[in-house]
Amino acid sequence: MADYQIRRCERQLEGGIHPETQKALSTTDSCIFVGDPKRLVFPIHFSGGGPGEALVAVADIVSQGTPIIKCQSGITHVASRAGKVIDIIDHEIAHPAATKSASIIIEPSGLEDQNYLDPLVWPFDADTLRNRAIEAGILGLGGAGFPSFKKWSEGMQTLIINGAECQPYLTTDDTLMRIDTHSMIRGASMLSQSLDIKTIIIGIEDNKPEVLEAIESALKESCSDCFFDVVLLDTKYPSGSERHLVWLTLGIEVPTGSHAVESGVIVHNPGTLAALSRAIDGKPITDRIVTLTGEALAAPQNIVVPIGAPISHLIEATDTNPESLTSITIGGPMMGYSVTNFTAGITKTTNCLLAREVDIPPESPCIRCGACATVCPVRLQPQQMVFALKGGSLDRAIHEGLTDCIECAACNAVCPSHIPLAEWFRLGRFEARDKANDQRLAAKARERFEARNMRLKRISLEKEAKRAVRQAKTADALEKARKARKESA
Amino acid sequence: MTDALWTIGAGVAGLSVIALLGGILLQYASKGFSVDGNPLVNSIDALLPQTQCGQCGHPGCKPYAEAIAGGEPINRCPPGGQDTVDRLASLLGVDILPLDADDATTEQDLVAIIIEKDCIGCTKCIQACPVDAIVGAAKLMHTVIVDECTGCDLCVEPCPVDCIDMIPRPKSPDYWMPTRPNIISSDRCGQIGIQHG
Ligand code: SF4
Ligand code: SF4
Repeated sequence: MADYQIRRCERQLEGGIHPETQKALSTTDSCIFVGDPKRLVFPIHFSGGGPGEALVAVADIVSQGTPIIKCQSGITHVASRAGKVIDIIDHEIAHPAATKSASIIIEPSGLEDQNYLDPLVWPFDADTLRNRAIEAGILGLGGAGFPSFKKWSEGMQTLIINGAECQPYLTTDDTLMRIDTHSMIRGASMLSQSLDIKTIIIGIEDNKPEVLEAIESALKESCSDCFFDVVLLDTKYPSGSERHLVWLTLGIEVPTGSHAVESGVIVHNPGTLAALSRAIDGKPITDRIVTLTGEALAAPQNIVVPIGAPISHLIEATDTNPESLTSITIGGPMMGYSVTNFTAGITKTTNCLLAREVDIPPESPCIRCGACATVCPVRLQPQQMVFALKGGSLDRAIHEGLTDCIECAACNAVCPSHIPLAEWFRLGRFEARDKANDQRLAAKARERFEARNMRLKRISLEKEAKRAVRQAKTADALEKARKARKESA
Repeated sequence: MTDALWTIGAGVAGLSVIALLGGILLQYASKGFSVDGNPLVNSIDALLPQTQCGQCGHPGCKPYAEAIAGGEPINRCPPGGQDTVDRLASLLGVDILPLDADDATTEQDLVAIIIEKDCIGCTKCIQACPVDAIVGAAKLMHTVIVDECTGCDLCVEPCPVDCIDMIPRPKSPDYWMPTRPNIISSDRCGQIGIQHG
């Protein structure tokens, strides 16, 4: 039995909102596997892990687990089913960029042809695990898609399993933590032991009693050197935001502009750890749990689907005709984005498809009620930032704290004027990122310009010095000649 | 009487020691915390885009920064655009001027590219590049290090075989920018019920 404790979180989230959770809609006891789709779509540059490079060519035959994309970060994405590469073309992608991008299209053959990695045998060191995570394509499955191995630096003190799942409608992590508890705990222990982490915190919101039960019984059965600290959080959005969760569970405030790892804390989604556990056994990520929910679906539920399955295939799995929907929101009502083309394939970061009818009231002017500032969990003044951004003053918005905004959209949710505040902040943050990049390039250019000027100056000084020496020599020689002439005369 | 003298003496001595210590401290501080160059020039230079293109009439951004510090108009930097003019105005507390350039030359992020098969290896462009972004040797092909190129376009003119083009700066294939809000792009706009209380 692993050593553990269950406690209530003593801290309170400042700001935040209590949305109607709507979680009952998609909560089911089990999680069905849907049949394979006719084709699988893998965007080369947008699968998570940065821009990539195709490792296969058209007409190649792939097994389940064959590497097909290698990203700049090293992360490898594999074919989620055995089949044949039928095309590599620009295809719609499930991404807020809403563009087409180069994608590998695979037609599944339905064969049980697997090409997995060799299982790792404990004990292994952190580097072995990092390599495994790279080969198995382990990314943050919570939605951000950050390459997990990059968080595994030495000297970390705590691993937090982020099971808060505070967004309304989503039940992906809830389902995973109920049906795959053992994998999650095993992945967490293995990771902690190889990094020499002693404490694992599991943060869950207190609206998930079944998860708590499952975790408790799994902890009783498992054995691990780590201490498990199960923290029950008040149900409040956004308690699952990384920096808020670190503060709620540990009391550590992650400073502005840095990440939790810089404070010695690794935060992972439960799904990521369960995937890591399977990767240790040799199985790369080929499938994931997706919540299909929303009032417009006939049978909302959680399903296990192969990565790359088209969105329409998932919608059909809920007995709904994709043509009856005009758009679908990927990633939940708060943090998500809409897609209208259902041929795009899901990626590792697709945690939820939400389909519902919403009528969007028109935006009206800000009445300066301050509601947004009251709920902002980062204690920003969203109304000030949005004024600055609408007025085209990025500097001003950054001065107001734009780069600290976590885009939680709590401000959107309460704004009586229906101003899409978080949308502005996302745009602003992207512009700020570009600007910071420009400044970095400018600094480099300045350095090179100055280095060049120094060099040119040095060269001209050297030339001058040489000339002076030459002149002195000539003068010397002349002098000598003159003397010689005098003597002979 | 001697008592009074003592008191005065101690006072004078004490104050002298403090003054001496303060003096030494200040001396060290002025060395240790000294700023390289003119701080005003540096803060002006920090706002300039570092393209080093010379369109302002000076041989680079730093020289223009020095000229501005000496009273030159702040609106002569086309690559910086109106944004830079605005920032300079607010830094220096002077009036905002309209940018002194024709629109075509501004707001375009370009880089130079050498058509390598045409290059004769004359090294003229290497000498022209203000940031050493071109590599190559005499009679050998030259090429532009894209990441270092500021797009100043100073290498285009000197090329005797006209094999340098300016193209838009290539972007990472996963680069994207969110669309401007206010068109209906998502249903994030407060479309969830809130439980009050
Ligand atoms: S989206 Fe940003 S500004 Fe709005 S509440 Fe969340 S953190 Fe605050
Ligand atoms: S909630 Fe909306 S209306 Fe109220 S201050 Fe914020 S932006 Fe303005």
